[in-house]
Amino acid sequence: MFSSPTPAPGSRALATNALRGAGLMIDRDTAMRDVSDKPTGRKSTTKHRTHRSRAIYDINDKGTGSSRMLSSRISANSGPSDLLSIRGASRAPTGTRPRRNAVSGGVPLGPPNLSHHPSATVARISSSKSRSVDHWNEFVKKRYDPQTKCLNLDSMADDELLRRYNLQAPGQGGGTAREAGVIFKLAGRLKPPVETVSLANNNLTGQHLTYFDKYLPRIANLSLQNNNLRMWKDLDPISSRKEKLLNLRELVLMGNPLREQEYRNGHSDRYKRELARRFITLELLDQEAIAKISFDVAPSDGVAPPAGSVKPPSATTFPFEMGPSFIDGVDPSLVSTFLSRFLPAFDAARPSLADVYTPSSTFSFSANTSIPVRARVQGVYTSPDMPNQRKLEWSAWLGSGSRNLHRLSGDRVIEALHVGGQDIVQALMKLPLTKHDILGAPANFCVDAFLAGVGLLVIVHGQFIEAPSQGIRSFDRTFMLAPAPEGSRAKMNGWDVVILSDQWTIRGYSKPEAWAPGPMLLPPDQQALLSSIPEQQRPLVLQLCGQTTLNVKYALDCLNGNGWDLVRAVDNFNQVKATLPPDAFLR
Amino acid sequence: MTTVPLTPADIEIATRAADNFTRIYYTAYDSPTRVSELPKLYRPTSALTWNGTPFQGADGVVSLVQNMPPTKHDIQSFDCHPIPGTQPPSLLIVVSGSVTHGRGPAGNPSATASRNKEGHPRVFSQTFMLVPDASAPPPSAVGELAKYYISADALRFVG
Repeated sequence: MFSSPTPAPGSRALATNALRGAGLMIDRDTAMRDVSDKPTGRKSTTKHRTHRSRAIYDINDKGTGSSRMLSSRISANSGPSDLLSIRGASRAPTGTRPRRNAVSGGVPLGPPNLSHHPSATVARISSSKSRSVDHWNEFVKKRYDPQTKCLNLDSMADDELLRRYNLQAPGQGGGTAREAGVIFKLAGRLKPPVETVSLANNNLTGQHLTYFDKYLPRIANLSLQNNNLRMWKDLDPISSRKEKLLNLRELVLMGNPLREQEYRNGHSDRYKRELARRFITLELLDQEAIAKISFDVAPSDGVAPPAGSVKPPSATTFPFEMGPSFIDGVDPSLVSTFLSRFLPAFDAARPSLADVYTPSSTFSFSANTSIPVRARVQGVYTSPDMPNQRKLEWSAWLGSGSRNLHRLSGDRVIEALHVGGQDIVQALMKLPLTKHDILGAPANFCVDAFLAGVGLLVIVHGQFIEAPSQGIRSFDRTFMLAPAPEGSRAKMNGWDVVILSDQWTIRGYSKPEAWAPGPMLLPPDQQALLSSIPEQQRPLVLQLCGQTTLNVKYALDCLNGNGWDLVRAVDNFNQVKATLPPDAFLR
Repeated sequence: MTTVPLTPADIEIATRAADNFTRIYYTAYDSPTRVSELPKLYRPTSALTWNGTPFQGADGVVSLVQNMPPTKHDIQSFDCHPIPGTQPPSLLIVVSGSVTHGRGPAGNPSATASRNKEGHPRVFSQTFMLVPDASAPPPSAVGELAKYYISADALRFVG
């Protein structure tokens, strides 16, 4: 049977076990099951070749909740709800599942089923467990061209070999994700590794692709032409959005309802856009080039470096401490002047902000609705001191055009990006009212600003009170600013700068201590040591750690030896630092 | 400053680039090969700040990340604006998410109080300015418009 080299001794057992593990093979007495499972006694008088392998492959499906699966499949078929009528039309390509019952029910009933299998049913079943894998392997190898690294799995149902072995092609009759998985698994072992796979003309649905990435994660070209992919989620098993097929360059989906429907309805642009986002590495879609920006690192790089090839990061503390606000390349008063006008106006007079945006300025906001873990651990969300936190709702933000691209798709990606002062102010007016308390504790805000490309990048982290709940939100806001041109609307209204881009992230409240300057102690042992000393002493210890990079133990010794005077402690440290052992330091 | 209006195609390309970039960047950051992968995304003129400390260029990136603890980033939201001025346009990307350092809370001593936040994931906010690399060789791949690099990068832990 094997024209190519015999597989490694364990591989056949492996495949067999995998089949059994996947529920593809059974160890029970098949004939008995056939009788007991005969669903209606109805027997098709014209048996098709595609039915004959049932006894081998599909019987156990009925043991795993067939009624649930059947009902869902019937509705998915959008065909007649009458099971019998579907089964009667067992050749119809969409009536895949119900045929299964007709077939398995019919298996023991007549010799026609076994015409290619003169041996007794029981014998056939027992030997078929391992043989079926061999048959699939023979098929896969026959379809592979090692020269072009192309695996042609087109029109599998018409393959002579499968007919001869009574194998059920995926997409035909009861051919399921698991049969497809067997094929993909065997394909994954081909040498040289497969680069191109064509699965055209197989009536495949999304479920048949379930195991594709598991066994063929590195392929570059895939044709699914003329199959039965209907919905976006049918592509999830192969989408880079789900970390799949990160080397895929070309994809063909022509002749699938998903694509053809979008084209029929005049949504070909949307189809291409959505496809491009779901397959970020794609260069060719349906034989057309996709415009693409690339980087010097590929999406698949770094995903799985060979074990032992590099020394993974192992540091247990941060190499640098948390620094204060960083403003570089610009007079800090320019930033503070801008913010101390912009934020109060944002709170109280949003329409007036139309002046500070240009006709090509962009604005969008994104709601990050995840609950911050540290704030939750600290009890911020249940604290009786902050009763309004529980009254906050995300709906006001999500309903007014949040542009979180991690979640958003379709036309809203374009609709949620506002361009020009008028459009931007209109969008701002729909958002909940806010109160940024910029005259309160300065530690509640943090600003980083430096020159970047066409302008000044200003990034503000802080908090605001949201109406009507009066709960507190945290936010990050990134502005790209440029000098206001002479004679511009901004300049005439007293703004020194214009906003080119304004991106606002609104998220659940976290305490501003997150950016409090000082060392960020990561090692749990240091943290444990710190919490073992009296609370009023901790700030000094932390400060000394920050200034000297001494660890907590040595910082504590140093302060104890210097009467808890920070200046003396630092002096003392500077005198003796050359003599200190390496383990006196945080890193 | 130009007033060339953005076309849906600009937005589409920018959005896709942001999809692609955020995946590439954080995968590289969280990978054992971080020190060799991440610097490739920068150029000598790139300006970055990490929690208020400035660094410059790919060398700066190396000095920043080589002693950074192992990370696991979880992107929770991101957004991207094309910034007119270059053709193709620069991209301003803002990411919000959480990052776990080291072993996370599992690395805490067993006596750690349940209200102790140490070890738990931090919220981070990171802004990137991506610009086309004028010195890159002409695009080789089908449909490739340009090669981009990070010209500015600002990160803060914010929760």
